[in-house]
Amino acid sequence: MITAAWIALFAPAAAVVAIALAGTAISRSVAGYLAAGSALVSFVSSVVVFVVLLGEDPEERTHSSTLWTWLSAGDLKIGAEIQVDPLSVFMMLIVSGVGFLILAYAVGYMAGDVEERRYHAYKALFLFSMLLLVEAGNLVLLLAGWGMVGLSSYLLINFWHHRATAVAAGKKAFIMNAFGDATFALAIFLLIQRTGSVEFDTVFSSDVVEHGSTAAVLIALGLLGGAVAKSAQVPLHTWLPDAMEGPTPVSALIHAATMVTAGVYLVARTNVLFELAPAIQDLAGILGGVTILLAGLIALVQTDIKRVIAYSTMSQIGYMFVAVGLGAYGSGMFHLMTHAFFKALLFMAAGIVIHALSDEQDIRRMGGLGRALPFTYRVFVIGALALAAIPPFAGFFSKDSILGAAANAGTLGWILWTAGAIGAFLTGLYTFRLLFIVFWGDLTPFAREHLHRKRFDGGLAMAWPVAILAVLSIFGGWLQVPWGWDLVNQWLEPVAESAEEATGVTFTFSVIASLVLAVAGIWLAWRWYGRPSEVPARTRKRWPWAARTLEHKFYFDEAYDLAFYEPASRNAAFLTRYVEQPLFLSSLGELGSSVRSASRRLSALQTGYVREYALALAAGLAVLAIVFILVT
Amino acid sequence: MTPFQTPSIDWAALSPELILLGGAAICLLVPLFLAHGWRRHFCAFVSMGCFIGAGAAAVALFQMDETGTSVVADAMRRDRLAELAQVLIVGSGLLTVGVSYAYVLRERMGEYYTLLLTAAAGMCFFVAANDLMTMFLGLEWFSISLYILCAMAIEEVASLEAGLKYLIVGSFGSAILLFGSAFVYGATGALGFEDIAAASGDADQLFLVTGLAMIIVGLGFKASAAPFHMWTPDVYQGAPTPVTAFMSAATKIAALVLTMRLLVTAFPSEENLWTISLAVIVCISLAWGNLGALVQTNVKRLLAYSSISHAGFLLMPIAVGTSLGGRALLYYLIPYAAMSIGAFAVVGARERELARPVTLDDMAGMGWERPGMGAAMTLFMFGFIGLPPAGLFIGKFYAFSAAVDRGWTWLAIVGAVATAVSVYYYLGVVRAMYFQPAAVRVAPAGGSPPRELALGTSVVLAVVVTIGSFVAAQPLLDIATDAVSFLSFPH
Repeated sequence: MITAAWIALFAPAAAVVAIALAGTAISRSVAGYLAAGSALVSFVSSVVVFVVLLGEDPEERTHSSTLWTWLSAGDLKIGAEIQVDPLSVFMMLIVSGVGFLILAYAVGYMAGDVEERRYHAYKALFLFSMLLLVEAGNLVLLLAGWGMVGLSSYLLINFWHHRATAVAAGKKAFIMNAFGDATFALAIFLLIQRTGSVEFDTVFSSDVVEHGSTAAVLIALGLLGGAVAKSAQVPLHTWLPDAMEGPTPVSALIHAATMVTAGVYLVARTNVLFELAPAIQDLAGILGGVTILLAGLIALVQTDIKRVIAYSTMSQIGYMFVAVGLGAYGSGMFHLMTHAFFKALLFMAAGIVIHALSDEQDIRRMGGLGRALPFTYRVFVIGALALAAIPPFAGFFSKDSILGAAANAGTLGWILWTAGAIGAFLTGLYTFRLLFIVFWGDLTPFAREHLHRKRFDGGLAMAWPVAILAVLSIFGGWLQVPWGWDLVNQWLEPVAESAEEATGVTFTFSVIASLVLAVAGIWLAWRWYGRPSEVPARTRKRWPWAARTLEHKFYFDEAYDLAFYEPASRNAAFLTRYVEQPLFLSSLGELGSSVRSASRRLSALQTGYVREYALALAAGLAVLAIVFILVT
Repeated sequence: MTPFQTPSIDWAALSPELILLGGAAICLLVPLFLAHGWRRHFCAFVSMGCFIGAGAAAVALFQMDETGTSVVADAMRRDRLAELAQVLIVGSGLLTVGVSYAYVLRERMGEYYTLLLTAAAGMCFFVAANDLMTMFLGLEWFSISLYILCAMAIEEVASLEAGLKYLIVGSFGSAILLFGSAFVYGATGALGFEDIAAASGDADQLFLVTGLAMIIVGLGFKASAAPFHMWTPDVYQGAPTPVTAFMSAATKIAALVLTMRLLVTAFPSEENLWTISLAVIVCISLAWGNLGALVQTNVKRLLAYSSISHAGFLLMPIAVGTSLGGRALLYYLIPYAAMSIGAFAVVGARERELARPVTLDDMAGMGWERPGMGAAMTLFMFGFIGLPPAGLFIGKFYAFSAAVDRGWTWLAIVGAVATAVSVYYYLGVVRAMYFQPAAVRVAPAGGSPPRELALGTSVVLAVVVTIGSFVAAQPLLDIATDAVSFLSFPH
């Protein structure tokens, strides 16, 4: 069983090596099939692991395996070690399953790109990194996976490295994530200092640090920093929309389904440490609530099809943070799963639209595509309904499980519930705004000119993964049905026991309220965008500052520019002008040239004459012998 | 009068040397009966087989020997320290065979492989030495083989000059070592390492410490530690590149392992002398090697200076005189040997493409023309600096921490500064390969030479060892700890 887990981990790594070594010896599509095939191997192995765990007693579902100890110093041992337990298997299934579908889709999507092989290799590298992250058996390996998903995300965002915007977006994502990596690493250092260990079972015991102590707060804060950066939550969220510069399957896999949800996984994994610092856990929930609202509002005015979905991703991850922040780990992970299904679906449907319109992403040029791309339209509707949490689609069950849990969690819970409920309204509004603008109405002139479609709108290669995801987006939520069963909570209970669950009268109220709000959002979207309407333009005219604020994404980029970039660059300019040039440029240059001249003089000693070499030997000996004799 | 008693000989302990010597005999004699075209291939494969066989024998001995024993009338030690060093030496030899395969020295390839095998056999013998006589015998055995190997390309003046210089200066060094041994023998009346330690209390201190100084100089010469390194740049540059590759790795392994064994076993009570004097030698080597490398334009010469500075890094853990230092030394040697051979192999490949000595300008554009070689060379250069994912990262970490552990933080700081300086010239090679426009495009000028499978394989193996020693750090460190536990350190 543990062998299957190792296979699941290393299959994508093998694909990376194979594609890299084979070079041009294999065709481009073969490289794609290799990457997708490795993901399939991972998925099958994960299923095997899952089935075996299912057959075991719930309390005995944690297994770990160490290949070798990488480094040990005193009591600290760092091994190449994986841990298989309900939580990691849950993630493995999502990562490898959705990953396989997206990699298969990418074979069709990327066909004809100049550097296709490099793309597929990076994609497999990402899958390996992500699996390393979720399977890691100790914190150092977890951090390694954490850093490597950041690296592969960077490589894929600026995959089209001839686009200046893509390169800038890659750098932005990398730097913001590096900030999170650093706080994460600091938290690990602190843990090592306190416990002398990086093993999960040693570190995750409640007597590691005192409840509520400074150390506990700092550790949880460091972990939260990593989680917030990776999951694009306020205030470290600005990289995600820019990351849409990458190819669409990348957005689907990394920036929607898997990597950006790693923060939620981290909080669930380290839940023991967060519970030792309740203030920080509350902070996680609050940041999630803020992100739900901010991202939902910004999504209302975005005009790039992928950016709308990206903001929606941020907002949905906000829900997951609310869940884990309130201790409802099962609900959070459940939403993570359904979100992976329907968000990947939406991205891939958007990818088909973008392909059909010769790489156009601006929704103002789109319209009336419903009749032209019927398959895409249908799956997009499914994805949109799932995202807007309309029963019986997947998003309904998971989102309402979060809101229901929030409704049971006291004052803070009610505040976050309010944010989530408003978020439900916004979700309905922005999702169906997108749907109506892109697919309803008449074909725009641009679309008429550029539209070209194949069978199933984008070809069979792209259609079948999308179809499977559509099915999952419909039925995936039935794992956990209110007043019925809660399979996800039960499954995760041994690792992350949920403190809050969705039950009781408050839950009924919560379900009805959020459903009403979501439908209201859809209705408003229909009023404004589903038919010709003057209302959006009028609204914009009435509150120009509001529109401006949203279009500038609450001025986060500008504020960061002002707070960090500007002072730093002004400082640097000042230092260059008044310190570096007068002090160092003259003297350091001299230092460099004096080192070089010393070096040249030293080489001049190397005359090539054997007699002088012998002299050096004898002189060295003489000094050594005299010193020895004098010392004794 | 009792008749002369021949000592009982533990043939198993000698098996690595015997396998190599047997191969040497085959390489020398059998090709005479072969068609001319076959000789080169035959010798290469015989050598390869012998290196693998000797390695297997050494590994088997390593597995068997849980305690160390003195063999052949106490002239040699059979312990894991010697066996680990032998594995590393024959491993270097194996990689060198791959580098040498396409190297053609007219009709002298039989002799070439013969001498390569005898040199390796001599080194295997040398690292197991347990008395001054065996030590000197082993030293001369592999040195003489190397003198001839250096001069093997007799059509080239540089090669002849290298061989001759190495011979003359090397003889001088050997003479110092022998003289020193005589002093020590005179002072203590003992040849065996343990006997010297036992007798040193009553010994004439003047002769003893003078002898010790001479022995340090003699061994430092072989390890090319400054200021006894003067031969290194000339010889490394002039010798045929496969020979340089072998010398840079195997000679260092042999000289350093034996230096540690000798100083720890025979001179524990003079520990206050040799630790601090080695530390000074470390500083001189680091300074001289790194400063010297900065202005070099010939890549082999640059690598020679790099090898001098690494002699400094490698002596640092010996100077510390603790078992932590011993562990650091043995671990450090693994990635260092692989990277050194790998780097010279890449230079050798370039040399053959251009048919002239390789300067930094000649490396221009190599990263793009030969992506595999370029990537490997980049890894080696970053590895020499001590950056992951090369094992030297952990090697340097352990060497420095051994120094800090002993309380010599200043020595670790010197090492760190030297590393910082070395970044300049190591990255200079990378810069030339990728960022400098190629002066001459190789391909159109007479067609590019065919890919060399054997050399490529050696480079790939070197890369695997370099990265593998990082990935499997702890298992290798455990082996090193095990091997070093056969010495009893004064601390």
